[in-house]
Amino acid sequence: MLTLTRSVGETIRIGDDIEVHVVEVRGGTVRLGFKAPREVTIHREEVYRQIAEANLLAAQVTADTLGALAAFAPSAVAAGAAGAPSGPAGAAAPEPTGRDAQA
Amino acid sequence: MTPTPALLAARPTAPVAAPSPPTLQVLHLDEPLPGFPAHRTYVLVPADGAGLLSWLQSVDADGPRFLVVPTQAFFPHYAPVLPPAACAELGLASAGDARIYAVLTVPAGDVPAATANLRAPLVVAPATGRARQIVLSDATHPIRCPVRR
Repeated sequence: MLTLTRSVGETIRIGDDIEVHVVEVRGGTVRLGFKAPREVTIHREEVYRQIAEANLLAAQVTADTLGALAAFAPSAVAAGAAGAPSGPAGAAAPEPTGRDAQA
Repeated sequence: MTPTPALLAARPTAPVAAPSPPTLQVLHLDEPLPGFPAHRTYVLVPADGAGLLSWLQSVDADGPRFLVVPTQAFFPHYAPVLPPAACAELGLASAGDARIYAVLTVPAGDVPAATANLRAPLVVAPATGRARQIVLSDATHPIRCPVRR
């Protein structure tokens, strides 16, 4: 692995069109800025790896789960306000009005 | 409730860009799904009668397939902020034009434990079929949000 030493305000160029700027160094952390073509996506490594792992698990899905999954589908989508996710993404979750899918 | 033949016949037959619902939508990923670098072209295939579950099926031989759901239906409060640069790259005039799907993970033999990936939604530009799984910077969106309600 190539190792370079850079100071705050300095830049590294990768190929013709990718720049990595050292924005700030404080304690044990460094802030980096990136300039790259749009098609180059930039991720924190651990997040990217988590998404890849989630995708690999997701690809193991089999068709025999469809019937059971349908039970979790909102029955009246068009009517709206049918329910909310129980997960942390749900904000002010309305009551699911006695609807409790059982396994 | 089937459409009458008269209605069908009334449709223009000329050089239409066929927006008819039964057509399978082909999705072109400008960047492959993380974990599946070899596959960029998928089709969205309805997986249930209600049209809520869809297969995201690679067109490649032995390519992967996933179950996806429209987040609007399953997670009505989910409102991810899509990076403008990514939207522009997909050819979306505005983020509101995007169709957003979540990839489901269904553990074998334990369907009630199914989760949806809300951290990395599949964002589709309906007009062009261009799509990308966008990894959101907002870490409050869970990678494994329970689907069971």
